Amino acid sequence: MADPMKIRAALQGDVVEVRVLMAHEMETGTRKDASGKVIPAHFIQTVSATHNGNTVFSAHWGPAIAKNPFLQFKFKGGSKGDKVQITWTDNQGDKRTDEATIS
Amino acid sequence: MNRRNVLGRLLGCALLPAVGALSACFPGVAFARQQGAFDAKTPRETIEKLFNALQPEPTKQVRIVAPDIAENGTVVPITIESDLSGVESVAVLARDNPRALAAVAKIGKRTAFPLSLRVKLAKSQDVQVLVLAQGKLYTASRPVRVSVGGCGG
Repeated sequence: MADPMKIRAALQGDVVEVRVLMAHEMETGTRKDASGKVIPAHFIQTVSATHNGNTVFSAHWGPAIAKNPFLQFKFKGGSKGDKVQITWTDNQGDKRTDEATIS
Repeated sequence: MNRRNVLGRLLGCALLPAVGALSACFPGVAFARQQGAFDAKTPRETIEKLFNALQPEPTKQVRIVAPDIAENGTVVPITIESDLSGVESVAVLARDNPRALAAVAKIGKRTAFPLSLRVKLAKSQDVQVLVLAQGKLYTASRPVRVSVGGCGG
């Protein structure tokens, strides 16, 4: 299991700004190790955010997303104290969900 | 989107099996992976796989904030702003990477800009953003100079 994400969700006016920092290698599959063997690709493929059970953001990623990915987006209709859940899945079947409270 | 276009898509939906049908109806959105857009090597091929026959139209209503010179190509922060209404999806392309597509995001009614992420750039190149809004495809791009490439090799 991968390390937890760091999630900040803050209400600004009528929109919630969400910032997420995920811990992931995001290996492209094009790099080689010291012995010349290709390091297999290992990267996050899907990311989604839900608020009260509704998806407010979703994305598909390729290996061109930087290591330990950072993501920031905004969504409408959240209020203080609500929970925001972020889920990612990677190409090796690993998966992680974390949540944060809107402040 | 004209009438012929809609008819063609509906026909496509009727002919294809359940999963394929969705991707035929809603080009670009979350079905990029099934359509092989992430495996496409050139920007042109990527755009075709994502948005079918739609031609991207340059716009000033989509803006990309990125460094002019990125010292390290493995971590290049990109922020996307848009004034367009009815945005359905956003695609980020690193045009000269081995595989051009970096990310595709689905923008719902509740999602708002700006959108930020960090990408890897293999070398100095244009970062292109495509925005699908109300059935039309818009594009903006921005050159980023990279001192050290970010894809290994």
